Amino acid sequence: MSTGRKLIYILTAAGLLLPFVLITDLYPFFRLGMFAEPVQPHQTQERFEIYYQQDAGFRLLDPNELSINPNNLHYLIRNYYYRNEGAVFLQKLSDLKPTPQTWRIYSYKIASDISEKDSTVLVEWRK
Amino acid sequence: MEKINKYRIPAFTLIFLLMGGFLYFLLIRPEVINATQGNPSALMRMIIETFYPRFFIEQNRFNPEFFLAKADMVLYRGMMVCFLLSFIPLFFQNKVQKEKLNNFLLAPSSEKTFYIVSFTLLIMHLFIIHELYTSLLDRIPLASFYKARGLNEIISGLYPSATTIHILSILWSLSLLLFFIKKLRVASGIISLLLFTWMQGYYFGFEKIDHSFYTFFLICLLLPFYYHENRSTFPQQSWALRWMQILVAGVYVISALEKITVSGLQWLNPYNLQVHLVQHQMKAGLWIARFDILCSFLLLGAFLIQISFLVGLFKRNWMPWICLGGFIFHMSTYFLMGIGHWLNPWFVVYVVFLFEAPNLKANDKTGLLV
Repeated sequence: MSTGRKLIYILTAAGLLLPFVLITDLYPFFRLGMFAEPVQPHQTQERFEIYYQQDAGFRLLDPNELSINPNNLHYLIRNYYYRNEGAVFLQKLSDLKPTPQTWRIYSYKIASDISEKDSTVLVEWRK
Repeated sequence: MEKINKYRIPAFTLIFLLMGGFLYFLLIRPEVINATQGNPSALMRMIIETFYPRFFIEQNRFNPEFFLAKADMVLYRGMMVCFLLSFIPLFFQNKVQKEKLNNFLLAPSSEKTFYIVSFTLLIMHLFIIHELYTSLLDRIPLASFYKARGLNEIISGLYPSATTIHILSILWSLSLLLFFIKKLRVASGIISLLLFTWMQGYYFGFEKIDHSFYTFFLICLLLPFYYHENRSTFPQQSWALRWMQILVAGVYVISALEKITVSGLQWLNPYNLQVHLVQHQMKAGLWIARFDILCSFLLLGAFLIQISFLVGLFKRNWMPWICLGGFIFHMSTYFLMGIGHWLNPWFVVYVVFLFEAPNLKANDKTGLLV
């Protein structure tokens, strides 16, 4: 067995095993934990929504009006919000739609079939 | 005495691992506890930022016990993998064992095998180029949210323009054309691999990973070697083809191990599947979610199919049936949850198992090629 072949075996096996051991993605090798975590009873699912100021009130942002895939946008809001970077997120988003002066993030918590919108604004950002 | 000598490497590894485990509980675990309570030391912060950046997102959602259990899990998994790997040198201690290992690491191959495998993977390549091309163009409005990773971080931290995406896709397609006209096959394999890694880096630069192309990507890592191996003559036994099989099977086995180590038998609770089925709102999925027994059966089936890929590596004649199970598993996730695509790269890669040369089948009892 040649040294090159041994090296390929070692590198690719490490690429497969290390994300499993370290429980993390090591790009371009990934952890394979899809659906591995058990679902908690009464677990709620969260949805985030963006509102921007228009005239006297606030209007829900439709991702399609900015040619953005809604799933991509939802994932980004969630990550920025949980990192306490909601304002940074809104600032970046406002570059795509410069007119509104104020932007807000709201969230929905969905448990079973009942969905309820949080009455408080999670993040607000003004130009 | 001879037996002790034979197993000295696994024995020393075990002692070393137990000492490492003791040191973890003495020195590292208290640091992990501090980090979960929001007071990480500078070193621990650096480790977290490097290996587990999602911690800063997840710490708002999960309790400290969740992270402590995860840190313990890293230790247990590391110990388990190191201990198992310590048995590999046993295969090099005598000629018979060495021959068994060499046989295990070869797949029966032929000219026909080479062309069927290569062309199936090339067709899939074209499909993936199209998928990545359209997805990367779709993400242009989100360019300011892009975070470069891996190879892309070295090349440029910026998201590519539409022109760059066009050029990269054309280059990638051209490298495949080189293969079709039988020019620079190995080089085309390497260029394809680099472009695949590069474009995936852009695709995954928006804080979301999906595994749609993962097994296909692993196979692409071996493609240049497979082309090289079949450059002028077509060998009857191929190490690159066999390693592709082992990597694909390894992905399934690791997926099954993830489930059992994270959730234990609780993973088979029908509620786990029912929640996902309801969330994805597919008609067939919602119907199945009504039956506990059916949901448990599907979960058990998925687990058994994943783990059976390990058995298939030794019982090569079983592999077509295991692949059929894998195909049903992926089609089920598509029809019940809308995950994936009807042309899923995960089952297209089964071509590496299904077209081994028919005149060189493995012996059922020994697993050796006959």
